[in-house]
Amino acid sequence: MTDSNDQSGKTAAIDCRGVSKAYPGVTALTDVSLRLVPGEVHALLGENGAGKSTLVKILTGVERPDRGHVRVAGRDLHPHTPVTARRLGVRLLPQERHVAPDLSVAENVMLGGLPRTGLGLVSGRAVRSAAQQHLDTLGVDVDASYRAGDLTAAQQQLVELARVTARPARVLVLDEPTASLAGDEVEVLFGVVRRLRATGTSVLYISHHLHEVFALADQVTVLRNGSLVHQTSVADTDAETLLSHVFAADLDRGRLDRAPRAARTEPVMALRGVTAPGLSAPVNLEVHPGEVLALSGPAGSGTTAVAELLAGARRPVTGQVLLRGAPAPRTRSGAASAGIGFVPADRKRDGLLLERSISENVWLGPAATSWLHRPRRAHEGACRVLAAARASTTDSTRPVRSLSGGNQQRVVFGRWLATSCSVLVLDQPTAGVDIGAKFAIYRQLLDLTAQGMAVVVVSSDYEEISALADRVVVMTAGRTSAEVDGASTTPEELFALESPTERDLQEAL
Amino acid sequence: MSSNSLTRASSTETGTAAEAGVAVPTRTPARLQFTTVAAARSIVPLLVVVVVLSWVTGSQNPAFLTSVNAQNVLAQVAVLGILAVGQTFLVVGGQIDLSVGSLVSLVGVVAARCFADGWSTPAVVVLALAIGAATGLVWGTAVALLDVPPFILTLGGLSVLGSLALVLSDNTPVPVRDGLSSWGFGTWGPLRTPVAMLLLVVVLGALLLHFTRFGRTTFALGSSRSTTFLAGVPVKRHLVLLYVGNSTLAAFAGLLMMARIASGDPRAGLGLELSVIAVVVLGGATLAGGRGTVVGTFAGVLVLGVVSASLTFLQVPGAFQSLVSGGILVLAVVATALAERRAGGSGTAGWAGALRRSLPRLKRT
Repeated sequence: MTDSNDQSGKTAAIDCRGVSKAYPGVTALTDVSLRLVPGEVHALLGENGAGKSTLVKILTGVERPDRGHVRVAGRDLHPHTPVTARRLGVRLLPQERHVAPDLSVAENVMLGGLPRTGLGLVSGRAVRSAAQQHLDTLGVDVDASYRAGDLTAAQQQLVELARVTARPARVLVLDEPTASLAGDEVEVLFGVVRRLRATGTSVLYISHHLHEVFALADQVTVLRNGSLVHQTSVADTDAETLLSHVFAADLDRGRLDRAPRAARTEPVMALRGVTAPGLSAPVNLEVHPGEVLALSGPAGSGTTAVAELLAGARRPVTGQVLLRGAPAPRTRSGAASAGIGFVPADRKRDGLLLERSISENVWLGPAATSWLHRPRRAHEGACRVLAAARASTTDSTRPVRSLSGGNQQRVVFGRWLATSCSVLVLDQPTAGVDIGAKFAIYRQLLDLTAQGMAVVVVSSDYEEISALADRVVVMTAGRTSAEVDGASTTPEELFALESPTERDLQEAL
Repeated sequence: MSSNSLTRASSTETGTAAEAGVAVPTRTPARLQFTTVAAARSIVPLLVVVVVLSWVTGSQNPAFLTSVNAQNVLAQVAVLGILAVGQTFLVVGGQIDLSVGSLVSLVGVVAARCFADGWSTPAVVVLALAIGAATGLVWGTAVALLDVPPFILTLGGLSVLGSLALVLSDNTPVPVRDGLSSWGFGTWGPLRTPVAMLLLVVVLGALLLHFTRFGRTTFALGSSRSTTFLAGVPVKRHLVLLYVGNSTLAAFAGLLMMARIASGDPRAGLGLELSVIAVVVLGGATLAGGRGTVVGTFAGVLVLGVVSASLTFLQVPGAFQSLVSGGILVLAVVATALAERRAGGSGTAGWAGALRRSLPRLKRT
């Protein structure tokens, strides 16, 4: 299918025109138009923060666009709510799984539309047969009478896909559906998508993996910084062209300058054959003083597990975590006292006390060295720490909740700047942080390494890694799969390294 | 709250100074900390209720507004107040202990029997506090290590301890001749001993909760357990300490209760946990944790004390008393929820407006 179909008179399954959306301080989408005809699989590519999730939220009615409009099968999405979108047949398979573990597969599939008998009661048998029939149609090999919680993660995802398609779907939005799937499970998913396409369902397929785009999609759209930069038929393009659009080739992405790194020293931390929940193979890793070590990998690839192992927040099942050659403390509080700082990925949930003041957030854990709390002194100390962290506010009369994302992150940093920590582990340090604050944070991290601190950054932002890292360890599916030099790597290389199936394919050829 | 005068008074070195050696003109906050403002918002209406109610009752019966009666009112709520201070720590830390009422009964019965067996006063006090500490250790370890929901756990404890009190006393109050009578009927200077003890516990509790690392950690724990854990606070140890401290304080309250009624009554603490939770919530704490003050709790205790004393003075039948304490709790939580909804969940405890609207109703009772 090519662009000429636009003029062929076929009514678009979903048609969004000139959609723009801005959040306070950030423009998320600028004038994006997208059109899916029935039975079309349309891939949506873009880096993290390119505007993919905002577009999904607008198409599914969760967010209202500032400008532009969305039409589903020729009808306006009005009022712009999730209920309207669902009624018009727009279905979303979200990234996170939402399976009710204690219900049967059948109940999970039919949830929200359980078939009832004449008396208004739910018949278990009717539910099971209806669900099984639907699963069979989709080609999902799962027994509907099983307890959903007993299924593998991949099966649960397919059950969820069956649920969103249990009632006729006109447009199906799949948000990185293969993030937690292994090779053959991906094939099952592809099979389901192809069957749905054959029945006339349009699929908007969001992915990080180019080979999936080529295997599945008819059309492809690339977003970058909230704008549509490329839209073409998959048959008319190739991987290199797409990559060049995903990453701004014209953008200056020179590495940040830094002091030359001292010769290799003894590692300050090391993982030796560590296995733990979230990892599929033993991990060996060394962290050296004065370096920025990046762990690159998508969500669910085990990078967060490694970060938590280093920080003492997760215990190894086998293997050893070493700190300066000796076994590291086995508790998070012990590790923190031993000088291992941790900046979690979910800042609001795990990094901050949202309703408390700046100074209370800074003086938490080992940072609070005195048993006595003096509010005025604590506040003044917090101001100094935040100035060192280059925060632009020190207003203690408001809760941390009211700060901007960048300043919130600096409060979390400040907690570790206030202690003498030798290792700082950061999980997605610039998620939800605006671009200016982002570079200030990078600069700060490099200053810290210049002072001899070891910095471990978990990130799925390739440009961040290539700008910042001395060394990059790539993780896929719960194991370390590659190590590259941070100074010479490019976002394109990292992007390619994270698609093991693609690489395997190339090797097989 | 006296937080600011205390802050200014402190000028010595502190260990919390930052390593960051950047010289910064420290900006003096022009306004009070938002948490202080929020606390004041919940406390001031309570004090208004206390003053207005005292004035109304006093105009009906002048004997109400005398210092003797003021001490009577405070002595009446001494046990409740001490329990409420301990419970404030738990609620601020996102925890709850429903077993304190039964613990008061149990400790009273055990102490009374020990006195009857001729134990010395120090031995009885030590045993009583040890019973409290042991109880708290059980709750604390179960909550910290096994992640048992404290509500269900201590609800079970409420029955178990209450039943133990009945068993050990053969279902009848154990009379006490003179054990600890100085606690119940003595004086400390101008104050009656229970009143002095209550005030001492309130002051020490306020200092511990608001001006020590232990107290700040408690707030952090109640605000976000995962944040507190990842920041490197030994969360489990802190939980155990919270429960041990609270139960030990409750055992102390149990001794005071026994001394005041001069008997080990197995039903002395019946329903007390309800009033304790009521005054803590009334004082501005939220059961979700992370919010509350000792001063607010004390204001809540005063409201409950003045309300029930007024009912007595105005010769309202005793059967209405629980109706009032329960009613106050319902009003407080509904008012809080309304204010939160109005504020869109964005922030500080500002249920003053809601309480203000409900004031006429309170006054009518």
